[in-house]
Amino acid sequence: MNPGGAPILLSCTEIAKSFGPTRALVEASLEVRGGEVHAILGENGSGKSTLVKIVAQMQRPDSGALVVTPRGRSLGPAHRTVATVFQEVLVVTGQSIVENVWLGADGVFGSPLPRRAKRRAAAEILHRLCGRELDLDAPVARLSLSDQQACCIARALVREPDLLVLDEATSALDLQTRDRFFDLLRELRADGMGTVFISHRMDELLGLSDRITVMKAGRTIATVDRLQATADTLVRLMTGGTRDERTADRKPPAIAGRPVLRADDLRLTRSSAPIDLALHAGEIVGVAGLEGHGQERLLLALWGEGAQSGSVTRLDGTKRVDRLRSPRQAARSGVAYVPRDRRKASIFAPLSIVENFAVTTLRADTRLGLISPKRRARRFRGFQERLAIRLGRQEDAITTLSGGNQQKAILARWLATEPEVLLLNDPTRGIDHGAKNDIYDLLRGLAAEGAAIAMLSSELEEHLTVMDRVIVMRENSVFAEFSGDSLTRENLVSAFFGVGEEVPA
Amino acid sequence: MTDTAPAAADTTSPTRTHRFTRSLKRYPIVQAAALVVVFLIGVLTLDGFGTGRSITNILITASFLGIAAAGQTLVALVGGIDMSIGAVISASAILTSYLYGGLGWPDVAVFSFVLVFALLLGAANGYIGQRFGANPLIVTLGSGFVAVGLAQVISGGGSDSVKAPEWLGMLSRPVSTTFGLPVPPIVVIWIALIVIVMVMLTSTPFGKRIYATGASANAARLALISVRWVWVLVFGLSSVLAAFAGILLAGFAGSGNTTLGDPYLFLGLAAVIVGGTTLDGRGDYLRTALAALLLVVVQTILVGFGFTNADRQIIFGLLLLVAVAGYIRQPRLRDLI
Amino acid sequence: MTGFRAALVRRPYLIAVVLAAILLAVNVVAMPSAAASYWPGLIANLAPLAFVAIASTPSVLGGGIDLSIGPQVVLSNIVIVMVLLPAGIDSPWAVIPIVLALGILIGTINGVLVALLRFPAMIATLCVMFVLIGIAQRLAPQPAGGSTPWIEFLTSRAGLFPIAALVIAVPFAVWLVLRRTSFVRNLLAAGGDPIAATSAGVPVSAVRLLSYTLGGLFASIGGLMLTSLLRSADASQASTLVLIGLAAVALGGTAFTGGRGGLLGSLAGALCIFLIQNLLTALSVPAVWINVIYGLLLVGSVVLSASLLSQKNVRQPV
Repeated sequence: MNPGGAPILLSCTEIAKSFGPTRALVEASLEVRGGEVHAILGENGSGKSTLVKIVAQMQRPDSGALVVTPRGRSLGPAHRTVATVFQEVLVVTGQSIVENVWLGADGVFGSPLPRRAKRRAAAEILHRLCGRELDLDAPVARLSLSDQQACCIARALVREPDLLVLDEATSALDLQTRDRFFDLLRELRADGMGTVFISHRMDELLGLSDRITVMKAGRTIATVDRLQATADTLVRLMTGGTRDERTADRKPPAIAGRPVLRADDLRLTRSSAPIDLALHAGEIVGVAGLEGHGQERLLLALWGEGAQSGSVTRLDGTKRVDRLRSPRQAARSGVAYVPRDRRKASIFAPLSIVENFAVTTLRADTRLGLISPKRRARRFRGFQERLAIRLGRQEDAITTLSGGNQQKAILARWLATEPEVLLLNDPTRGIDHGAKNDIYDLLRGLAAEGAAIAMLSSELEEHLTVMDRVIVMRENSVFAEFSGDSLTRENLVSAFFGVGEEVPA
Repeated sequence: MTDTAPAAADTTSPTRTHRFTRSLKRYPIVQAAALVVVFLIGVLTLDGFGTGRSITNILITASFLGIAAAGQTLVALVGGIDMSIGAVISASAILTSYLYGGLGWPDVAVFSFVLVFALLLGAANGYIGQRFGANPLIVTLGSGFVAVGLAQVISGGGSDSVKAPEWLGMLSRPVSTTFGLPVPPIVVIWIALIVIVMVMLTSTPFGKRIYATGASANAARLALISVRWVWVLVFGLSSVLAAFAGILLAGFAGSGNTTLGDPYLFLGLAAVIVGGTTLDGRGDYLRTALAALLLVVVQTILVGFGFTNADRQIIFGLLLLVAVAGYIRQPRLRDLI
Repeated sequence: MTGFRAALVRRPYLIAVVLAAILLAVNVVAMPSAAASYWPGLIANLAPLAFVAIASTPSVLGGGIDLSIGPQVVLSNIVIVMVLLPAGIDSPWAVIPIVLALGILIGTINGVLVALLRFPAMIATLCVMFVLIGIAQRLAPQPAGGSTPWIEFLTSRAGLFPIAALVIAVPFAVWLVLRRTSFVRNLLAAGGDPIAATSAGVPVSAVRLLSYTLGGLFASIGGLMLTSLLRSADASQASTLVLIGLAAVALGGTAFTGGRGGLLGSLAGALCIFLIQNLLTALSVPAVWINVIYGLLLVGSVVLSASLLSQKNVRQPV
């Protein structure tokens, strides 16, 4: 277990962190030694991102102890104890490569390192990462995304950190760059640097890490030595070892109705593999995957927005066929999209509950140019009952509602347009149990009435209990599809981490 | 990037304090209370402050300010700013007096010309700001120069001897009455404008789209609202309202000049801010109207106390800073990562 | 075309520089009979506007805005004429430090309001603008004369060489020194992408605060130049200067979203505005066209700079 009795660099004990009513971390403990790569593994919502932010000292824990012990080497002035690389490629696009590498290393004025030393260090690391000489003065915007992320990694490494934190930092790298980075990482490990490593690739985790800590529902539940871990044991730990308990009242795998929405040769990004899929009347299709793998892009593309190439076609059942080119057109032909981030993308905080409801169907209430509050109230009341929206008065601000009831009001907003295809982006995220069940019931009812539903969810449980079939996204394309007996927890999680993946493209 | 769901507001039982803070958010109670308090201070400390004559003067001044600030309120509601308001007021005043007094156009033609001129200018502001993502501050600053310039070009440099219609001036004379009521017509016009704008904001689809766009342009887009149209119409309306103020002001001042509208830009902005309309789709015109009254009453009292124009500016700036300190501060950057 | 576009993206001040060069050439052609001594005088006349533009730039680069720069310039002018000179303080060794310190103080107040207390920049500096205009009017209710020889020297010329050019070079020298430190890079990062900058450890608040301080410093030098030119104190120009200064910044290719641009562009922008005015006067074009041309230039340049930038800064959807 103990890698050569190396000193402990980082020790977190019983860390808890809440955001409002959401308990992101319940009890997390982690110990990282010098000279080890310590992976943190967990599915969405297990708390690993929060833990990483706390380790990176970007957020303070509500309780618990976090102790960082530097290695105590004599080091250059740019040294930082902890350096973090994020999944998002955080380069400042207006600046040059070398400026981006050294961004933030200097304090307000100070330029403790001579320019030439900076250039040499940047050039050296970038050469190792990118495998070629980069023009250090070129604008960083000209680089590929992978090379931009290499700049972010270089930014962390030039600080000669004692502890390097990689929060899904490798997902933007192309494979060659990734391999070069891992080689470099192994050398730095031999020098005694500790690494906290989060990745969505099981092969990376197993290939690189020394120890693996598994998280589930805000807790660190086990730390295992890599030699004792296999993909199967890890998946079992993440899923809690429970067998599938698919709800009994679930209808048998849907006999697919007629196709109502079809995607052909759809590419979500310039470099991703094409997607072909169809949604059928009466089915609920789950869209699953680790965060940031194109699930949201897929839903938006099906709504006529943001696809790089390919087509989305609305099949009306009778004979009308529409190529969807814009959300407006999609909405006209009966496709509705409910965004994920309620606060930023769906609710209008200054407006009341009923106004939020009516905003896509304003014309239905308007007589002689004025909105009739009576008509609007009557219209909303129907949805209020059907969705079991609990509210004080319809005219209260939308922000007075709980998350679940807000989401129901937003669902009502779109149901009022009488859609035949519903694209839902994680509709039950952050809402309470009762509201979740109300929404599941609603969706089942809508499907039974013949609606086609595609629902992104970051909760495994939902995929197992609500969906008729589930597509798993990886790297902006469809990686696997499960239905019926193959729709199991293990299969889903394995697919999330690319287990069973053949030679990666 | 995060695993955490956004904090959901809880449905707490509406306690009395809760309900009180909620109505504070909904209705301009603080502004109204401040207005009453400040007015009473004026009555108690200054002779003749509570007389009909003094109140009429306050109402006239506030009417001009209020009408001038109407457009800024709408623009602020969609998250923009309109720096061309002062210039459009000046331009309209110049054009009104020139077309009427200089060229002898009939009133209706004059007003139509001026209002259409303003509408086109404002619509261009909104279109450019939204289409190119150009900062509305600079766009409207530029179009303001254009407006004043064009007015000068059309009027050939303008001369002060050119007069606006006589009856226009009567609208804002303290001695004028409206259908027997002892207030000048401009006050009635302003009240009508308040009603119209409030009805538009609260009871028309366009009003709802304005709030939605201001609250979150992204969410509005996802709710299939044409953000571009909203911007074009709102900025267009803002210029039209400014032009309206300019026409009235031409009547009041007798003619127009290039700096006539300047005070109304900054004071109007102050009225919007004090009224509590923020750049994220909260607020309404009634708040701005009350704040305009409040500002004018404060000004009048300060004048009564013998403060010079200079002192009033200083006090003004400080009051404004205190007034906004409570509710419009930016989030910490650290929380945005 | 793409090369031209790329050049503009990298050096957004090129538009203003080229435009200024063309305008200068046209000016020369339009006034063939002007004496050689005419041209140095132009630089002196340009100085106040140039300083307003230059002083407005740092805060904009950091993603903020300072509406109080015009009043700051005017206030420094008024403090010299109405306070310092009448009190018998007329030595440059006393006047200059006092004026600069005042500029630094006002700039820092703005910086604290925006960067530390997190007021929206536009509103905070608008309030400060009101206060400064008030103080200026209080100190100088009516325009009043006052000057000393060394102040007048600042806009005179030595031979054909305009002294004003040396003074205008001061902020550039300061800027060059700052470029050698990490300050300018940090400021551009803080303005261009505050989130990336914060995550990389850039002290965003400190850098933003100092950008206002720097603006205050430059504005106070502008006040010296204004005094030298006017030889009097005049509070009436404060709010006009705000708008023209921002116009020059926009024309100079500095993005109002922050992170892109520099002092040189603002100087070129100021030069453009100034030369247009000069040219139109020289050609005896009716002065009324000046505003129209200003306005169109301003809108055009901000649209150009916004559309150059529009393809960048695109983040993945979250």
